[in-house]
Amino acid sequence: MTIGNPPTPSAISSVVLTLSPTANPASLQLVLSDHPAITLGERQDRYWPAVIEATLLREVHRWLEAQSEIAQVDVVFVSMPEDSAPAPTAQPLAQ
Amino acid sequence: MKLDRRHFLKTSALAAATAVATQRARGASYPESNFAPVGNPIQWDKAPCRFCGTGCHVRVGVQAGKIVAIQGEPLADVNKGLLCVKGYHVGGILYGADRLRQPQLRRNGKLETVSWEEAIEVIAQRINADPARFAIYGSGQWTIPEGYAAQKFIKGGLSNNHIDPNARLCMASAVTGYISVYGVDEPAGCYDDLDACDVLIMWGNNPAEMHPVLFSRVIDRRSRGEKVMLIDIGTRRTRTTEYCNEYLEFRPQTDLAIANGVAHLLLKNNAWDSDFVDNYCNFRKDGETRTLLGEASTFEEYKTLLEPYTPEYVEELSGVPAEKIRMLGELFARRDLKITSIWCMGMNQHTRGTDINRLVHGIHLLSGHFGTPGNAPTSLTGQPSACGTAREVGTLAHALPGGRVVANASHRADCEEFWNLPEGRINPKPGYHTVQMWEQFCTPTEEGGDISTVWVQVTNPGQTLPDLHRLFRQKQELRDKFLIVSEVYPTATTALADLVLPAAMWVEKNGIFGNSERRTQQWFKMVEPPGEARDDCWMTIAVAHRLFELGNPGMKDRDGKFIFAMQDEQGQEIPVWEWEHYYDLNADRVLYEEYRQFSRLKHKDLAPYEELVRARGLRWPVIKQDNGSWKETPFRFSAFSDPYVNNGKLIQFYHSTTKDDRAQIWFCPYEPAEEEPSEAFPFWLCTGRVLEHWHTGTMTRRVPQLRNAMPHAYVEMNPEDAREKGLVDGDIAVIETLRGKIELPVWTNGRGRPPRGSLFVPFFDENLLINEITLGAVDPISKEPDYKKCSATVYRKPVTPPPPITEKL
Repeated sequence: MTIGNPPTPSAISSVVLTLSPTANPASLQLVLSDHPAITLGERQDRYWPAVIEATLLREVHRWLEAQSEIAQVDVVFVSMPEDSAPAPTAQPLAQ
Repeated sequence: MKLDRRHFLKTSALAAATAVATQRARGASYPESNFAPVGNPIQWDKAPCRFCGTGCHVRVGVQAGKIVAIQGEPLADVNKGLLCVKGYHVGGILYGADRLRQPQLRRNGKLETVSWEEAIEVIAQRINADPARFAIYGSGQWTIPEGYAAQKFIKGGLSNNHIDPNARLCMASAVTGYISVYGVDEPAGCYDDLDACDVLIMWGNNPAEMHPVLFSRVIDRRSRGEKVMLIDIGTRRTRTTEYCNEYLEFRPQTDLAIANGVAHLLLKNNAWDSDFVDNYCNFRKDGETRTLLGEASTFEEYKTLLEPYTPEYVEELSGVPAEKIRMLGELFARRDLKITSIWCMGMNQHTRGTDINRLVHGIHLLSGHFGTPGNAPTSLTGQPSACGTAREVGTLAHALPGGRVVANASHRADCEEFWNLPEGRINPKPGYHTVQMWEQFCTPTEEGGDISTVWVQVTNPGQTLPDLHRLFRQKQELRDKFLIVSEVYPTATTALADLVLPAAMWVEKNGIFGNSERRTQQWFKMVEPPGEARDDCWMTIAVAHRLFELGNPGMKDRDGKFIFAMQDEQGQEIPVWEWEHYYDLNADRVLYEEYRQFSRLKHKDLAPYEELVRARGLRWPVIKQDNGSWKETPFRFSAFSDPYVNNGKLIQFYHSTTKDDRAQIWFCPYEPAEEEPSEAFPFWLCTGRVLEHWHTGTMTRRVPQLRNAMPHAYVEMNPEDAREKGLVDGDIAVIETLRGKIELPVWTNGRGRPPRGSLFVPFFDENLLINEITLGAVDPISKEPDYKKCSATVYRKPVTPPPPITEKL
């Protein structure tokens, strides 16, 4: 497993991919590994842990769901980037 | 290591996802409800382990009708309370979520549930219509009574010898090695040799993973302060290598040259044991064509034939430095050392398997390292009853029970007498061996494919046969061929089956196994099989009886009675072909006692069933003593142990092929492999097993602890080769041979470390079937295929870019 530094701030999503019964893990691994926003863990039978690291998690999530060999994508947790949270301000928010 | 927040989050995210995935995977097939019901006490009973040929004994704990615990049996000589990681989880193999529970018949391309009555009827009608084109394919996982029943059914009943076990794929070369050297199959030594040897040589063998309990026996000696020299002669570094004093890495196929090199040095240095050879040995070589018994040779001719095998020439062929060959020669020259050689698939799955077996036996005989504890050449088996069932019961296509062969009129007459069959019932022509059987099954009938129905019991040829497209998958196109598979789980074989029969496994039935050291082990049924799963032995008897009802003459003995008629102790006939009555008597005991009378011809006398019940296995020949007790024989052919050695002799090879009580020392030349690396296919490809999974993984991959420990197959590569090919760990590589290609993730510097120019792939993973591309060539004598060497190429899988993501990251 390689964990690299992303070039821009992005969110992190911990997901479990459930493979379809007919999935070929070897070929799917190649497809998923080539996606720059996805890091794969060790597959556990039909269940494949993965991390998505992207500015727009939803797009990657949809891309995963569109893969014919993936039956389901479950989110374990999501961590939003620190600098994407609202900036602190001395001004009270609009009433 | 400094970990910033982002790395920490990402690592945590992956750990959390892995925890969830693991929980799901485990929860899917090993429900907690299988364990820990309370109220009833645990009932313990003994059984041999279900997996390899070591024959460890386990204590099985049963509570509320389920196995809830497994212990190593401290009373067992084989394992003395120890088990390997598979053994400790053996109870879990019964409880995979997808156990087969009902018979299923393929209709319109789909398997549909049918009754047992219909299933038995379909099989009986199919056989009755064309008994000569029927074949049985079994295994060394058959219990002795199961294999014996199948053997009697087809050879004694149908006059058809088309029965072969998958043991043909794993130890047939050991059989032909033993027979051509000693005149009779199976080892002279036993596991006690591991406790007594000063030097243990492992020839193409990785016992640290494949026979871990036996390996532990040796390593334990070291931990007690004993000195044992371990030598690994192999084609890749393994876990075994890590414990060895010496590692001799050889170019595949050149083990023949190494063995000849040792013999050359013994002669050149006048270090051979002339007393032993003069008294107990002859010399033998191949004639124009290779045969089991070859032709007579002389010491002078043997010496001349070995002359070219100098250490330098052996180095040139094998890559093993000449000084290492000399080291081996010097060890064998020493009378003060006790030397044991062990091997398994590395020597047996070899197109020259018979020859390399002969040569290793030969250097032990030539040097006199034979016949005393610690001095033995021994082939280990990979299946729990490869010896007991495949070899002793003789479920090979040419064999009959107790070391007999179909081609021998006297042997056939013996069997017809024991089975009370009409004279001439047994066919003298050997049946198809494994590769031939599947070739014929997968060849269209109109093109001469004369096997139309195969019944597979307790094995998975859809994963284990070599060159699977040719020898198995072709069946799919042949509508008139019919495949019957009795199994416990869906497999690569059931995927093509026309009829699937759900089978009981291990302690769901009575059983008897025979392990690698001639030890026969018995157990009783402890739990019920799931659904409608039933014993394989019952299936055979039920089909035989239906044929009897249909008037098939082969199912009648001389007196017109059913060949499997069984009576209880009161003499009342029990209809054992009816499942509800099968356990009204102990059919295992009846079949075993009938079979036991076959065991005396070759002095392999088996103990009575009741003695097996009391023991944790007994090594044959088991001989009744004057005081009425029964005594096993640890060391065969040696006067101090074997009661069949005549008075006044120290060693006697009483089944000598030359009828003079002598063993044969063979000369067999080195020759290149059937398929050597070439420009287009520059790598050697070797296949094998891993610690966590047993053979095709159908059982162990249903045990979450084992599946999670080793989830999928891989290709082991040398890091330099991987770098040259632009591959790193986890990359998908394409492995290609003349027979096809397969994609596998790469593993470098992992458990095994192949040298440059070679690849290793385990065969346990049904999703990544390496046998789609392995070589189908066989040893000309044993007919065992070579899974250990063929030529291959490897490259990175061409990348197809993923679809674009709409928003730039």
